[in-house]
Amino acid sequence: MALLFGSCPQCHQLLSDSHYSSGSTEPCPQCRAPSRLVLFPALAAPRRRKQQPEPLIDSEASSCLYHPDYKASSICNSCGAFICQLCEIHLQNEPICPACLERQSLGDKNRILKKNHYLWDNISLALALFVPASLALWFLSFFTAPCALYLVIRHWKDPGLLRKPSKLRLALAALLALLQIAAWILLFLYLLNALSKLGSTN
Amino acid sequence: MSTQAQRLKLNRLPGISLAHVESLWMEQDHLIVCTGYGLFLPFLEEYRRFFFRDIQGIQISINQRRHTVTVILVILTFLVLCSLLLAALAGKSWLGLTVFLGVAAVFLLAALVLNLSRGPTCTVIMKTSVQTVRLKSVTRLPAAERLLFLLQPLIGKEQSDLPSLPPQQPAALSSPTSTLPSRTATSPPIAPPPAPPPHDTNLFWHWLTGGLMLTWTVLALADYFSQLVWISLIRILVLFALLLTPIVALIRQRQGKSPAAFAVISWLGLAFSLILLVSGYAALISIQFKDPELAGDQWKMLKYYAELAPGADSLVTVLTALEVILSTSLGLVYLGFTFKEKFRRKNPPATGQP
Repeated sequence: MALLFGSCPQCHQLLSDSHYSSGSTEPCPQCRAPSRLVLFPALAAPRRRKQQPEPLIDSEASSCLYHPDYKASSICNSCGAFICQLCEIHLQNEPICPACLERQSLGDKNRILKKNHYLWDNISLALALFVPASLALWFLSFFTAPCALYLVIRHWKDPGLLRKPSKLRLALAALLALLQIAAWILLFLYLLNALSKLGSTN
Repeated sequence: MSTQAQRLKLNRLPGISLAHVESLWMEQDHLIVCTGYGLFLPFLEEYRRFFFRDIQGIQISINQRRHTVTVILVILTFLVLCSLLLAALAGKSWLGLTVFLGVAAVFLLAALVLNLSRGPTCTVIMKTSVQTVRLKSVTRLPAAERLLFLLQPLIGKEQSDLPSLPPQQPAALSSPTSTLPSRTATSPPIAPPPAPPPHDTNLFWHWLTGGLMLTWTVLALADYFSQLVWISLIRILVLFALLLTPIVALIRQRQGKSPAAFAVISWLGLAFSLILLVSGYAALISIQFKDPELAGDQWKMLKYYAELAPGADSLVTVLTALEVILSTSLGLVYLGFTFKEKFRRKNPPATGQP
């Protein structure tokens, strides 16, 4: 259910005028839950409307790459394509075309467009720690330990987005992964030794 | 790609669940709501950005979640303490369970104190022109007020070129298609609202503490003159409650507005509960010297003290007399102060008078 702004989140009753004017805490008229609204000028600002693109009349004028019937009004800051007012998107106060916006949002070049980020320090630590810690799945460490080590090496210098990956977690994951790999090697050598002794006895 | 965002440390303990963790970050011109998904540790973070220029309003509504959690924790703590008492009386063979219940009781008490000390719970909703979002990482009123204190000047600075809001705009908020005021409005900018005054402390816990103290007087006398074991058991349960209620009363006083005498009385009440605990240990130590075999069995020791004839043990007589005097005087003073405060709230003094 969508939460209505200006209504009580407990009973969804529209709040009274005193809430909007005072800015102080007032009880809801229905359920008496105290509520406070702080409003900003953006609430009353008119919505920005895109201007209609100009049709291309003069054949010598540049046309939009995506709308050949419209006149180009600006140049994409990323790819240099001519774009009309319909295609023009402002990103950090610079014009950009929709294709470049999509490409940048999928890539890593513009952090402001990034919608998600994998936390490789936590993933590598989980692979190195949780799998062998669960007694029933210890044998999976044969696969997870090298994966954890690879992730540590691959993402050691990852700058992160909001925060840098924790070097402590990466180091701990690497240490645990190395110990598990060493344990597997020792187990393998022990089995080889046992088999060779069995073969020589026979 | 440099990391420039600053994490907003609004809560000492942010809202955490097994499934996801939400946190708030701030950049130069926008707010980032970061939701982490994973198991025990977040593996993937998703971001939603809210530019200060687009934020239309913030709503803070106080809800009843804290009260609900408090009631649940108090019930659980009481049940665990009763079970702990039974396990302790059952003898040494139940030592493992006693230790486990003791640890559980400590955790529950810590959770209860933490829940009460963090302030009232609230719902924070932020609205822009295209979305309305509930900030799940801000669950307590002090944190919400800190967030507002941080954001208001930044949003005001980003929106300084926009026309100020007129004092009342109910039509604009109730219907998204209503006519918005023209850009030529020249109303003065809205000054930041004053902080709400602290509320009067709820007197329930003070009534309860005073009542329990007087109940202790009655139980102490009944236990001394009668030979019933169940009265001793009830006394122990009342002692547990007497340990909890002054702590809760002190926390409530810290969050609200109450006379200074309440704090003094509550601390005295807590000290009284601790004295009762110490006197219990004093009786236990005296038994160690009189009858070491009896000291090893909690149930037999409890029966021994319960079935003592009046005046048979001088130490018990002295301790009972002290308990009765202290609990009666403290209880009467506590209830007297609470009654006086209730009377003062119902009949506030006229303006200008102290």
